[in-house]
Amino acid sequence: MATNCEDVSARIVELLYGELPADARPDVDAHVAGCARCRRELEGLEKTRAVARTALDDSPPPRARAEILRRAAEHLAAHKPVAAVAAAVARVAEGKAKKTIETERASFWSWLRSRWTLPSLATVGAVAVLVVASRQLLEPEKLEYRGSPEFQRSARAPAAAPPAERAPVVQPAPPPSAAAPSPVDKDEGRWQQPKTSSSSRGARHRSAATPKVAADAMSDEKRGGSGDGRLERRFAPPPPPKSASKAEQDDPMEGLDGFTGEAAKPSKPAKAGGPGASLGEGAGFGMTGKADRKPEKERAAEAPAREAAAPMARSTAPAGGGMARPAAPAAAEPAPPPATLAAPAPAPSPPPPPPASRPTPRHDAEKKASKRRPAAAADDESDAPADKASSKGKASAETAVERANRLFTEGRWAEAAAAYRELLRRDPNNSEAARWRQRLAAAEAAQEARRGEQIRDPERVPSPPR
Amino acid sequence: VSKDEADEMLMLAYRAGDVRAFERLVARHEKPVWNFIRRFVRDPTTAEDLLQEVFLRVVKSADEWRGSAKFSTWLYTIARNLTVDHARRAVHRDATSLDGPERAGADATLHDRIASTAPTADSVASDRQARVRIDDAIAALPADQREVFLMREVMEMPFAEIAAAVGASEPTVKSRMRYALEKLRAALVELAGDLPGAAESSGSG
Repeated sequence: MATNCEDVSARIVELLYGELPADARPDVDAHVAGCARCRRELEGLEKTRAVARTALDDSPPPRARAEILRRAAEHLAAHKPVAAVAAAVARVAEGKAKKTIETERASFWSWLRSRWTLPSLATVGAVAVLVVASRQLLEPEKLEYRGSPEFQRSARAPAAAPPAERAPVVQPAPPPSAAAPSPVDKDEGRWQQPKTSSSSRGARHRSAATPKVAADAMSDEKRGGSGDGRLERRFAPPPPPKSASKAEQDDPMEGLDGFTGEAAKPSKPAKAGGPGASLGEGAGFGMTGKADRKPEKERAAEAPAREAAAPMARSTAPAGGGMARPAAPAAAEPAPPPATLAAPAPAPSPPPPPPASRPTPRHDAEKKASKRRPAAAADDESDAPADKASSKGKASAETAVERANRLFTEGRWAEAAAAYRELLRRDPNNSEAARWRQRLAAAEAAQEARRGEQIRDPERVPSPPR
Repeated sequence: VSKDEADEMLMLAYRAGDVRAFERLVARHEKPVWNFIRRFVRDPTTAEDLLQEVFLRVVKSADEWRGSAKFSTWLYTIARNLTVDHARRAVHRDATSLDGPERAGADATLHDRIASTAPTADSVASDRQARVRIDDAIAALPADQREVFLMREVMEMPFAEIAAAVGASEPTVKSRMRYALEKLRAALVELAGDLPGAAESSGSG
């Protein structure tokens, strides 16, 4: 018996708890069996354990378990995804990593795509549409300013860029011919009637600024902007809406809210539809207002001139042509906005409106417009002379001013710019100098814009007169 | 299938979303944990909070638990760590540490307590009295001996696992166990004067 009491005492804990190595057990058992002291020791500890165990049998309050389970369920509900991810991580750790990762990634992307990507793209698209739309819709507001020199100065660049748009504006105004001839007779008739009698109404709608615009418009009209307008319109159908809106405003029937109601404006232009129609309408509007002012003689004279110019007008772009036409309508009624569109418009005494170029289709409308012009001219004193001159003169001699204005109206920006430059050089203190500068700037800007446009869309480049 | 393997299955089931599986785990292990805690935390309310904290820790750490590890060992180690940490903080707050004075002269102190509380040396303690005595005696154990004793007796952990849980060697754990047992026996001597070898063992201890 190699095992003594010391050995047993050293291993008594293992003996008590059944952890005595199997190879040591026989010797220990043998010693204890033969040693009363060791046996007592062992029994004493076993009894102590037994007593202790009776004291270590408490149960926790039931509410504790309930609370634990409640919170365990909460956690499970709140962190299931996390648990899943963690599980995936565990899998990775175990070696399935690569596959797992790929799977997870793929599922993640698909989830992202299905849930957020599409909505996001949709949102971006919607925002883009809003931005574009708001620009166009908000422009009408600017119309009032545009008439003013300040605006033109500040907004020179913009004006140049959107020539096409401006043009539309102008168109409505010029041909007062409410008349009948225009293809769009239905609409026109409706509009015109109001217009005719509406000049007064227009006035009422107009804000303080309107007068200026009107003046400008008239001057433009004289120049024969209508022709340009038509061309422009062709290129940029959308813009007309604005002008149309103006027209509407002018027209009592249409709804005076034109100025305020931006949204409404666009729709009206639509009415104008074809260039001819638009001209007719515009003419109607503008004419009415102007008609009263301009002498018929002048109108008549202008008409032809305009038509002749028509081809050229095409080339006119944005600022000049557009402005001219709008002006006319404006003059007739609140319409001025169109004029405003055109950079030059602001000047109260626009240079003699040169006969604008007009497409043949418009003839009727234009003629009417021309008839009315005289009236308009009356309003615009400074313009009046110019008008006359221009009308006479297209064929013969034009004054330098007339020529510049005509070139401007026709959208021959480079030439117009040169002409105004020359005017300013020769007579920088002229009462019209401010206007010349504006037009010079507008022409330069328009030139720039056209250049850019041509690059972008060659088809849009004004084509030669039909 | 051993009980611990069943534990592991239940834990996996809970992790997969089965709360009922967790309920079974709680029912199975709450008592050992509770009794362990109660021997370190006298206040029942605090002990209850601690019990919940232990199982919540298990819940929150469920994803960290590796299926290869024994669940009960993992759980009890969590319980031990939380409880001991709490007890340590409590000791710092409360100057009257249970084991402070007793460490110095454990035997004498324990003996004194038993002597003072015992109605008479010969009287037979009732079950209720026995429990009170044993509770007191366990509470009087040094913390390192107490935890080893409880982990072995209540949680039924092998000495090797206890050693790993408390960060001590296995022989050290066995030694602490031996001291704890001897002290408890000494405490019960007078309660049950007929406990065999009480006098001798206490002396030899």
